[in-house]
Amino acid sequence: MKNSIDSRFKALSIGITVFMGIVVFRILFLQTNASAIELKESIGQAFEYTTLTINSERGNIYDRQGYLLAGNTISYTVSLNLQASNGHGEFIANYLAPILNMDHETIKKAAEVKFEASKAVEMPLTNFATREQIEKIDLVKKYLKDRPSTGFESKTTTQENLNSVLYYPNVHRSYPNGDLASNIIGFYPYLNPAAGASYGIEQYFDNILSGETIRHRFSLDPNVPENIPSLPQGASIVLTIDRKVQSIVEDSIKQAVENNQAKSGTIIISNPKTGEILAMATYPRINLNEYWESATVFTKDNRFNPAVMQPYEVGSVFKVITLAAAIDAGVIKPETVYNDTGTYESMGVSIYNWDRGAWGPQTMVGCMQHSLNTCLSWMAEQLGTERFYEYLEAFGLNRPSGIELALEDYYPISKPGDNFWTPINLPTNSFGQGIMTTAIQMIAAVGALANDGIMMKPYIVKEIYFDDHTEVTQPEVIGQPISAESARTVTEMLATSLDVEASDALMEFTRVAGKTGTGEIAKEGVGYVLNVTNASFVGWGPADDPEFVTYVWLQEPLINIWGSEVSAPLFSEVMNAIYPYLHLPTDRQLACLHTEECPPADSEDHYYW
Amino acid sequence: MKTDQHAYRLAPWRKQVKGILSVLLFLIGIFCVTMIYLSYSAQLTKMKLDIQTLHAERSELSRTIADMIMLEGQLTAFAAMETRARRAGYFDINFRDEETYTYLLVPGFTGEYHTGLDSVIRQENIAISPIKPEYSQSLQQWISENVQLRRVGP
Repeated sequence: MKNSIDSRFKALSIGITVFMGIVVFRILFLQTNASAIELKESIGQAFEYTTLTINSERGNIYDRQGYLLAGNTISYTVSLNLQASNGHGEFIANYLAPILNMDHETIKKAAEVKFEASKAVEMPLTNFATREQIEKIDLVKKYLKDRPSTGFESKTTTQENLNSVLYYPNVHRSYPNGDLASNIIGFYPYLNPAAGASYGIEQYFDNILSGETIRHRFSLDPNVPENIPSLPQGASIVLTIDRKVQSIVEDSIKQAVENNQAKSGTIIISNPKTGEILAMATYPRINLNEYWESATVFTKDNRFNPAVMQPYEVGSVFKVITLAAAIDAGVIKPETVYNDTGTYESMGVSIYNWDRGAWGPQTMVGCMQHSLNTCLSWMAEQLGTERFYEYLEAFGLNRPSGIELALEDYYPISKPGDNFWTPINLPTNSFGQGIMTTAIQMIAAVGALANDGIMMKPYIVKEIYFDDHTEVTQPEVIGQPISAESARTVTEMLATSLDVEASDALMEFTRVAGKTGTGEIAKEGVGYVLNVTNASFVGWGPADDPEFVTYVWLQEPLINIWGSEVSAPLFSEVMNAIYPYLHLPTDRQLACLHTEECPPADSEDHYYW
Repeated sequence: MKTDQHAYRLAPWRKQVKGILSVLLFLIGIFCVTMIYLSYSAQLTKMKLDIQTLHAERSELSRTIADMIMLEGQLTAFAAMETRARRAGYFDINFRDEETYTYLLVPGFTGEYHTGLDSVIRQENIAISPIKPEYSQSLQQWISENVQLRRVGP
């Protein structure tokens, strides 16, 4: 009996030992076999980790008072889980079509797309459902879940519900003001983010505006402690523009372009003392929420933001630069007399005035009043070729202005020694022909005349808010092309000449200096075309202590081609409308403050104190 | 042959009790270690779930904030405000009318300057981490840090 028990124990021990041996062998096999390791890793991938998407939003853009110009908003992607939706298309479409404002048949077809685990699992319906629509879907889901059912229904119809409807939140770019300042802001294509930001601030500051998106592998193993990384937000940008002023200017330029049937229109207003841009309006513009329209609205000859992207021959507006250079070099004085015979001969080429007229003896103020090409050609020759082009360099006309807007363009000035330069360029360049500049280059250059000869770098970004610090743009002096005395002299001359040249440009609130320009347009293979012009005006004031410089440009107006008749009155209209918003006193208000007796309101005199 | 026998020896039940106690002690030891391990794992698991929940909440919150800022932007959009103002009976000031608009010189007032600081919302980054340092540092590090703190502390 005892031997029998012993032998059974021995057999049991051997059995257990063999079993343990097999288990140990199997463990060793699983830990060393390649396919077993691969299987373990694939299971590990599926169950040991989860992938979390972490993103930081794109920074916002504000106007100078903190009103939002570009931000982000939530939309939802609504999709159908095909495994659950197959066979219930009619039911799902009945509920979803009115909520999502979609075609019933489209939803039904989407729901009935055959489920295939390796190919078709989910079918998106829309990427831009609103929060209200999602709340309605949730309400319907809840109603279907909670609704009472009969025993019969519980086996049949209650099988139908909206559990197959899934939704995920997205954040996308949105522009609450539509087309306001669209030429400055640019756009971020939310339908195709891979294309990247285009134009304006969005493109120029894409690096610092853009949020970051990473996919983080998060271990589900409780023995592996780890945090989810935090990403820095995209920086927010505050612009120098005031949206009220911008809006008034945009309305005016739109009216002017439409009334004159112009190809495009541009108005820039800047502060010459700092270089900050107060408004930069162009027309046509697009609603940035429908950014795809840019492909059809803008062309090579009509850019997204012509103020910085489109150099053109500015015409007689350029004469203020030649005049300033000649005054500063001391080759002329305001009272210097030029005898205009109607033509000016240079290198065997005759130069005529805009009206082909001869104006006889004229002071330099008279030359500007009548915008005499002959006089300016003579002035440039008095100045000399080398000095003339040195002044143009000093006025920054041979380089981009450096404003913080993407795709700024400039046209290199052809100088002596360059391939395309001939001696006739000097007189023609002096009155703005054969030389191309952008509106932003001109406003920066003329800003020097309004700021005692000191040229400020134009800027449109006031502040940049990073996560941990704020950068405030400081005004930057980029040169002094002429002396303060010359600048004041030129301002006074052009304030005087404006009375005669373009009285429509005069403002009712303050005395201004300015110059009109009607630049002919050279077409490829044809040359300068009759009656196709760029009508421009540059003005600054108050003449005694300028606080603004305004540049107006209408491209190819058809109804009236003259800068003095189209752009000059537009300058006056715009500046009279926005003047109070610049927080500047009128000349009469200042006279009231500085004199004992306030001048009468209906007086047409200018006021001095 | 003479056999030595102890005068007394442990009673068999005592041996059994001793054996049982030894086994129990061993089991209790294992149980304690297991409990500590399970407690540690449970706390860490809870924290990791908290991390994921907080991450989801933060994402939702940041989306909601962005949406609210946009909603505010839409409500205060220039065209929308102008329309509301006109509906409410407001009209444009006639700047030529000295009864309604005048310019006053205020001594000491240097002009209006908007920095935008008041209006622009700064989104601070707050790291999500309910994990206590004890769970992410070695015992040696934890002791040395605490010892240092005690030395430095008041």
